[in-house]
Amino acid sequence: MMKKQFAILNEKVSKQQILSENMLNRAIKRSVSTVKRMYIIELFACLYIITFGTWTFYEIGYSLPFLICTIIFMLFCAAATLFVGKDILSNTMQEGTMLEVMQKAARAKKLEQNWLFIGIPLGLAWFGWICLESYFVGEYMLIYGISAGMIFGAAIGFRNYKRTINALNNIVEDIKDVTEQ
Amino acid sequence: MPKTEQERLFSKTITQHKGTIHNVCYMFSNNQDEVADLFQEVLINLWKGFDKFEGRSDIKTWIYRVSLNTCISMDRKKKHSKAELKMDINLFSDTDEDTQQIDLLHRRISKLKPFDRAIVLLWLEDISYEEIGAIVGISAKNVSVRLVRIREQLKNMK
Repeated sequence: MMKKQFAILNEKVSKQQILSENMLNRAIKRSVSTVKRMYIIELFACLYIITFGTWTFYEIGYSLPFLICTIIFMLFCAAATLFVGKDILSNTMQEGTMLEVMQKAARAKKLEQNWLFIGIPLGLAWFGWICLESYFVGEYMLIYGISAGMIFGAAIGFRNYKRTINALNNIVEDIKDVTEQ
Repeated sequence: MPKTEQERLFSKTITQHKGTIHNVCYMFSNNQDEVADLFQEVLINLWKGFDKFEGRSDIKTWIYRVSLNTCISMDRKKKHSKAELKMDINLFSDTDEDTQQIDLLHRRISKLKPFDRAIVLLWLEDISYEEIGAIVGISAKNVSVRLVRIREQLKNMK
């Protein structure tokens, strides 16, 4: 019965125009996925802070150790982003078997989750240090601005973290279901 | 119009297998906008991997892999962005007898878990257990065991 219904579906689909040239052209032009775009934005943000941020901090008069540590921290963040997203950044992520893709996705999510345990303490330490630096150079208004930015960033980070955990749980459940047969 | 030879070859391949892609997208969607979104996303992933496809497996197997993986990933994200591209075929609103039969099939299959949905879809396409196993990443024996269970599950659905 199902095979008969499927044959009807195939027949109906074969008679219809379902692929427009517009669709094909869009696919060819759009090569970057949303997830990949997020990783690329993160990398550019690190690069931006390393260049423009460091120069601004230097102009404000922050100490040299702080500038060096900021650059190292940003390089570390960029390296972590590349490491966590290496499977996602690969163009052929969807070409493996379904099980392989699930395992890759689970690995990326797990790494993303683990990265927060390192990233949050480091970010907080950096935040404390920049507040101190601003205090020493007398830029009190900057402290408010940076604090607001940190709160906003933490809220977005927490939301993403919750999404990651949910997605990870779903993938792990699926893998268990498949491999336990 | 496609410009390069590769774009022309891609268009030709997709035109030949558009039905396969559509059927996968249809089984993982709840409405026509979602089918169009998924179809577009599958096309993007196929294009991204097209130059690296070395022909080690059958082109249809490769298309199935990319389509199923894309649909399952999107199914998890369930991001509802409004589709800008429309398809001429709409199996969700047509009311003829054939479409009702297709709707019955869709309703039963959509109650299955994504992995099982993929297996049953490949089985309906008359793909061998070995090939199904190669697409989803489990053994042919495991495919046969799962299919018995899935068919049992489908039989009990009313």
